[in-house]
Amino acid sequence: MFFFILRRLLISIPILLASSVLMFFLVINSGDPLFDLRASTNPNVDQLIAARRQRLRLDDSAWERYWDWVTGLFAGDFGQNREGQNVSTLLWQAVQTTFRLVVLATILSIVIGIVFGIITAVRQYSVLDYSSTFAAFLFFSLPVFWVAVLLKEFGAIKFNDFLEAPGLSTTGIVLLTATGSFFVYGLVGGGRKRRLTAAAIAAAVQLVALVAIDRTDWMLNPGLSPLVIAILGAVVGVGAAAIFAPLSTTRVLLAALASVGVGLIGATLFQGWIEDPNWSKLLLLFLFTLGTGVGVGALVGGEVDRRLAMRAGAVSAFGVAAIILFDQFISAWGPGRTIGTVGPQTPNLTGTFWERMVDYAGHQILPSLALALIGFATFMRFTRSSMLDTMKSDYVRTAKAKGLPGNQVILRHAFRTALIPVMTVVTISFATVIEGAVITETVFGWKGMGQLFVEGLQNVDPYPVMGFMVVVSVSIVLLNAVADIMYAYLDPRIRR
Amino acid sequence: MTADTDHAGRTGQGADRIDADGILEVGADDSGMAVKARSQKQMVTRRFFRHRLAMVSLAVLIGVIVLAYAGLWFWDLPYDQSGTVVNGGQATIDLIPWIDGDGLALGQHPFGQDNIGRDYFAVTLKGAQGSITVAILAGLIATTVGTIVGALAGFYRGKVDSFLMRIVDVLFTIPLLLLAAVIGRRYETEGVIVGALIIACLAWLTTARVIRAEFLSLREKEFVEAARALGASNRRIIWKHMLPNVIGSVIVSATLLISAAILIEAALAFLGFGVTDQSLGQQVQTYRTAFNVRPWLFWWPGIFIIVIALTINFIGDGLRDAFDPKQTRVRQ
Repeated sequence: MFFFILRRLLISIPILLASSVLMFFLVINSGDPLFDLRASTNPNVDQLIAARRQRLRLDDSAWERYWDWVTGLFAGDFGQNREGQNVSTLLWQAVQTTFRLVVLATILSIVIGIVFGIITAVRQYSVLDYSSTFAAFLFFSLPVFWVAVLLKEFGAIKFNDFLEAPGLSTTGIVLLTATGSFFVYGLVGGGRKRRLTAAAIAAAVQLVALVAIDRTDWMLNPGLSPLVIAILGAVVGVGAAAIFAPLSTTRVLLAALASVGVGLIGATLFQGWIEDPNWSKLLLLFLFTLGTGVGVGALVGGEVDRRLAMRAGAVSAFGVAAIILFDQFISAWGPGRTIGTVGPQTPNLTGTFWERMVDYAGHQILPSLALALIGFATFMRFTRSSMLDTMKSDYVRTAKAKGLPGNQVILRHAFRTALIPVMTVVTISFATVIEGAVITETVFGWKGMGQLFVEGLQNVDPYPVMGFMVVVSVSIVLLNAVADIMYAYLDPRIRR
Repeated sequence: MTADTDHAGRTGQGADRIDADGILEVGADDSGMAVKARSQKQMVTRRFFRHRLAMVSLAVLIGVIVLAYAGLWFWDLPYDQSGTVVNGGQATIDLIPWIDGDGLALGQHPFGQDNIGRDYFAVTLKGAQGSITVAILAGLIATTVGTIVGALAGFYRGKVDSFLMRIVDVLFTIPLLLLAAVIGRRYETEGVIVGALIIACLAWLTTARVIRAEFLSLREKEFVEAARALGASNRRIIWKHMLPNVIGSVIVSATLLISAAILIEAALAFLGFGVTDQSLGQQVQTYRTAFNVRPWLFWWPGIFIIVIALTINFIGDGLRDAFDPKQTRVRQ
């Protein structure tokens, strides 16, 4: 294995060198680096031209410049841009900004994509399947920049206006309810009658919730009351139990619900921490939550179901924690903290932890969403076909034949195998995500890698562009290697 | 639960096979007893024509193409001449007649006018012409290059293969859009042909890999050996024996490349490194800031891009299903 990895990485070095030569020569020949000065009416323009010629070393041969750049690279020197700033400094800031965008978008698209992929595979040929497939094709065909501009208009500007004076019209309530019920109708299995009942129940719940939200001016003063938190917690507990075992397994259900209860009590004890946390406190709380969940599961689970109960306890504890934190988050959503359209955060913002989080999230959500659309479509389609293949395999049929409940077959037997090819797509889709990030950053005015690239290229300023390219190419090569290794590692049929 | 899913799944499958793409119909007539002989080509065409979504998409796409190329002939307002702005340049097209009861009408400026009074219908059509031409040219050239490279690498293996595949590896380390932007920066708005060439010489990589993989497995097949034993030259084996066997992949990847090329061209124009002077992406970019004042200037080109890319993607999906040999199984 070690030699496989080593060999894989050694092969990529000449490839990376070749691609950097190609890029370097394309970039320095992409235009006239003095074009803005030639048109300038500045009296000392000759001096400026001479200075830039010297800085960009325009009188030296291209090979010399490339050689110095490459050798400098190994000493951690990425060169300087035409204003004389160090590219490595610029690049480091840009990478941090873009990393936030890319990671959140990737996580969003993976989670939603895989969930929808499984649902559409399990409910193949349902209305939900057809509409999700259509949506995936639509997302494949959307120009990212067009969507980003629209999101900026409707998701930020119009939505902010809406939050100033929120109010749901009757049509709005009906439309939202109809969408939700349609989703539930597609999601639930069984005969038409069962699905219609489920959809009707969902519609009733949504109607009540939406009318309540509208009447109580919830959107002006958002937050979850303890009662709502408790109800949602119970729902999460039952759901977590249902994932791991059929609901008739009382001990697992009991463990999940007990862990929810412990979580709620814990939240009141640690109220001060939760209301004004920092990252280390949150991490501690997170570990503590997981620990209690597992502990409760171990206590309640009994001999036979202990491991399942522990898992269910951990998941439901985690769910409760998420609900409580979400409550804090939306409570901090005061007036003025709205969806941002420019940059990754409000400059010079002071405030409590949660207010800063709201600000980050408000600025982050739309670019990430724009970026996540294509990835979502890819992951959904990939998971769906992989899942369909797995569902046809013999061992899944065996599991069904042994009498395992449907969701157990899907989650514990089919899903895991189906994920193997999907995980490799994560790494391979990186190139697409970077392309999208360049565009979204331009639309939303983020000063990230995209800006470095676009501005550098416009100015025919080679080193920022090359710095960007080094980061991207190295990441692509490494991720491809990771994909190969992961494939070999995850699939026991390939592993020796 | 298990039994339910199983049952629903099976009936569902059966229903799809009849209505969505007629997979069931392969070679069997209505009674399902007598089997009529059909050639591969006939089966593929038959399956494709039964793919309803693909057929609708094909019709829409042909409509858009005809509109883009023939429309400007019949439309007497030029795309490059400014005029007086009527009614704030509002679009006069009426697509939902049941609201104000005026009936379907085009009006004087169906898509409105821009700030200097150019008729936006003509401008959009001109842009669509540019985009479609670039995309189709780029898609066809890239498919050809990819197929040839993949075929040579897969057939000859050895040095030819490693040389060609190293080129592919190198190009794969740079995201296509960004490489195209660097080249586009130099050849900015040189015209449709140059634009198509730039996109094409970068987009052939995936096709080459796919075709290479198919050639690698095909060259070990008995029929190739038989052809060689009969004294066929390499050229003849590649052209007459192997290429016809990968034609499905070639056609499918051509459609995918065309729809990708539309989006790449638009994205390039948006980043300011556009390769053509008249294209839909160029127009979205030009009128991006006009969104609050004249939103229709932003909507129309975008909708055209989506419709073209979406229909091509659906056609590609239909073709993939039609060429997929797994789909020939008669219902169990």
